[in-house]
Amino acid sequence: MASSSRLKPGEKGKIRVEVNIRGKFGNIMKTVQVHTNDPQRPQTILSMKMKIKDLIHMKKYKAAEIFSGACKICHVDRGRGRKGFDLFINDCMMCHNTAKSASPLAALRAKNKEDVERAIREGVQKTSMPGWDARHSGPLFEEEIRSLIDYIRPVSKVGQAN
Amino acid sequence: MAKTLLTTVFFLCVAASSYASPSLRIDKPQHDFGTVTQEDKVEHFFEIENAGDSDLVIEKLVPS
Repeated sequence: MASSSRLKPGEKGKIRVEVNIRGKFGNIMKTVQVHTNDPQRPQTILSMKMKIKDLIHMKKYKAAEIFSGACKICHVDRGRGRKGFDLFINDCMMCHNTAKSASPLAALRAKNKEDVERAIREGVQKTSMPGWDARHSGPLFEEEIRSLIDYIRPVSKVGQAN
Repeated sequence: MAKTLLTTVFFLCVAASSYASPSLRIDKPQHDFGTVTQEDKVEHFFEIENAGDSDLVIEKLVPS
């Protein structure tokens, strides 16, 4: 990374630093420690900061688009073969998280069970929530959908006994 | 006599080596890339200088 590892008195050089930012966004800070034979300061820290703009999520997509193309890598593939909590973490948490775009888990649990089930299967109109059920062109099959509903377990207000 | 001379030479060497030393100078050790769009990687060249009076050796670079 350095143009030369030895500099004569008065000589100038360069240290090249490359930062891999693939798949990252937001504010990033990177440092590199430089160890030399300088007796006064054997270690010096170089630091770099940047703000990476998220181009992928800037465009408004149709809900179902996240199941195809490049979006699929995160929105479908991560959840493959998983169920329940594990599936929720991989497929749902990226949006259903506090401070994110969709209702967090606690809010989902406070909802009516039928509404939650319908939202998972068919998606929610005018929002970015897609329909996950394979019968509505989603990536999840019955067993996986059931495992999600069981994990979220909202109490049905309709059939609630008081 | 020879012993005294050797000792003197020894101390002279120690004195010389402690006076001549390398000194790493980096005028801008912080770099702000500003806002970048998503791409694979970004790179930056930090300019360094040996402001001392003996060879500066960069032993290693440790990234965070």
